[in-house]
Parts: sequence; structure tokens; C-alpha cells
Amino acid sequence: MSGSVELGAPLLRSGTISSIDSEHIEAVYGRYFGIIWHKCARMLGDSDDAKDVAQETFTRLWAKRETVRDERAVVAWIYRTSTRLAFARYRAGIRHVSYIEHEAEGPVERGSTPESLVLLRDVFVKVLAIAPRREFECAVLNRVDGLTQSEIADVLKVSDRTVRRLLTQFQQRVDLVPSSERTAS
Amino acid sequence: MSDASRHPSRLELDLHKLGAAQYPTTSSHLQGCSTCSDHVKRLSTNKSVPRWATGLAKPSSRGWRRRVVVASSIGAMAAAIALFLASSRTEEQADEQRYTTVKGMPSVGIYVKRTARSFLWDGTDPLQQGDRVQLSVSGEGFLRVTIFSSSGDPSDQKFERIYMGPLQPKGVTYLPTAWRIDGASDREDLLVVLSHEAVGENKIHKHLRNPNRNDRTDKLWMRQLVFRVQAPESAEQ
Repeated sequence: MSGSVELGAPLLRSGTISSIDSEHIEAVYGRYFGIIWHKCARMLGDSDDAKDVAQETFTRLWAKRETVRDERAVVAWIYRTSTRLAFARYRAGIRHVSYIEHEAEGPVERGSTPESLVLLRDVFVKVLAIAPRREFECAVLNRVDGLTQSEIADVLKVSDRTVRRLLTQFQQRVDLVPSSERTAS
Repeated sequence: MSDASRHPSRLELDLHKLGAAQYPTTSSHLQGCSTCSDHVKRLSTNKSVPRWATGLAKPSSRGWRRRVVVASSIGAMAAAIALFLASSRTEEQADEQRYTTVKGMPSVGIYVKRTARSFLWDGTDPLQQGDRVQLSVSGEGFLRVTIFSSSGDPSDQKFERIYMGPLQPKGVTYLPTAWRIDGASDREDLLVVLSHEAVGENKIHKHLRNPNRNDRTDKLWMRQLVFRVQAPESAEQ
């Protein structure tokens, strides 16, 4: 998560959000809130919970504006923070994953029919609800957002090896779900 | 994601939208993939900035003027004034509370700074234009505090979030923000919400519409505070 980015938009005048005074919150909102909202909607559906998590994420981003330094860091931070906030919602019983990204790397099951995709999603959501936080984060970033293992490692600030291990553990949880629940009858 | 035939991740597409894509193949992929190009188009929003967002930047919020109180004044106030307000106290004031779902015994302390004098609000005396109000919260296990200002009649109250932040696991948390009464209204309402996760206006509206429903009510603790406001007393203040 390094390297400088040319920032043509007026948001980051000198490489940091902090260089924008408070009157420019409209610019920050316009630039980032769409990304935040779609990320939250993928995890929580078009729900009040998604709105709350999106609002919380943006509020935290605004509070962090003095420390986030480039676009890649901003987006990685958004993905990391919103995923962690969504974890709390899953623990509270909220399960609204709207769809699963089937093009991601890793042990993604590729269903060929709509029925099998629905079953896959149901099993995925069921396992998400019981997975430890790190596994939850990796699984969501991989299967909902379609991140590669390398991208996940950057976002979560862990090693590729750790990501592989967590995704494998998550897959093992999926495999423990009885096969009758994972295949169309 | 160097293979242009594969869909880039949502993160990569989001970065592309910001002009910071990591992979050179992303642009060419977008030219031939309606799924991904539609995603990038959807990221643009023409909606106006909502009030909760503009409230983050502007120091005022419906009559409340946010002022950061320096640590020294917080300490001075805290030292001068005993901790206040067991939860039972406001419960006696029917118009000051909506309902409470209790976990432990949370409490809210209300400190008023009037010119050079600081004191605990007694729960009844009117505040004056120019007063600054600061809250302390004893969360008793709750992790977050959110403050809303409210307006409108009781049957159709509108809430606007004006502060949220973490609570210390134990003891009293002094909120780092104070609000100044600008005297634009003869009444100011605050709703203090303690919770374990972020709480937005939507959840509050939903909850107040149906306070008895059994949806995680044990996860919220609320206290509504009503301040009557009057013009400043004469010059000796």
C-alpha cells in the first residue's frame, strides 16, 4: 500500500485530506461516499444497517483526514473499517449479503445455476455469522468484494500467508456444512 | 489482477474511479465489460450532502455551537464539580425522558459553564444564551455514546447526530466537545444514546416509532434532555 498517486481532483491538495478545510466536506463526501455506500450495501444489503455503517465509516474517515495520505490508503482504510463495522452487525444477527463475487481468486465455488448460487450464498452467510473476525474479514473481502489474496493482505495489513490460512480455515467451515445444504436438490 | 479477462476486484474498480488504479489492465477491461463499467458509473453520486455529513464540518448544529473545550478547563470543571446525575434523577422528569432500557446503571453528567463560572446543571433551571454545556458519561459497559439534537413536536421529532465517540470501558468519559447555547430557540433538546455500535438517525427514528418492539432494545440506553433557554441575566453575570 505504497506509492504516491496523482490526485487531480481538488480533494487532496497537497497529498492529505487534512489540507482541505472543513468547507470542503462536500468534496470529500462526493468523492468517497459512493465507494463507502456500495461497499456497505454489498455486505449488508440496501438496509438501515448499511446506511448506519456507511455513515459511521464516513464519519471516521472525516475524523482521520489528517493521517490518511493517498488514495490507495484511503480506499484500503474504507474497506478495512467498514468490514469491521459490518462484523459487529453480523454478530448482532444482521445477515444481508446481497451477492457474492464469483470472480475472486481462491477457493470460490462456482455455481452454474441460480439455485446453486442462492444455496452457496445462504451457506456463506451462515458461516459468516459464526466465523471469527479475521476469517470474516478475509471471506468478505475475497468473496463479496472480489479482492485477491494480495489485495486483502494490503487492506488488513497482514501477510499473504496469513490471508491464505484464514481463507482456508473459512473454507473448512463451509465444508462442514452438510452437503445437503450446499447442493440443489 | 494482471489478467484483463478476469474481473478486477471492487477495490481496484474503486481505485480506478479515483484515478489510482494499480493495474494497467483495468482500463482495457472496463472498455469491454459492462458489469464492471456499470459498477464504476454507480459510484458517482449527484445527491446533495446530507445534514449529518455537513454537521461534521460545521461547528454549529441547530442552535448548538460546538466548541472544543481545552483539557485544562475540563479538568478544572471536573475538579470543581462533583459527578452528577444518577439515572433515576432524570427519570422523575417526565418530559425529559422517552424511555430507558437499562444495562447496569449508566449516567450522564451535565456541566454548564457560564462566563467564568462552572456548575452542574440541576435538571430544572433554564440555561442562558452563551452558556456552554458539556457532558460526562458513565457507560457501565456500553462502548459508544451518540448525541442527537432533536426538533419538532413529540409526535414527529427529527433527530440530527451532532456527536459520537467511544466510551471508556470503566469510569467516566468526558466528551471532548462542548455546545454553546445561541439563544435562537427557547428550548433545546438533546438525546443521549449509549450503545455497542454506531447508531444513526435511521435507527433512532425506527426505535422511537416502536419502542416496545423486541429488536435489540437491551443494546441501547437513551436519555432525552430538555433545556429551557432564556435571555442572559443582567450584566453582573
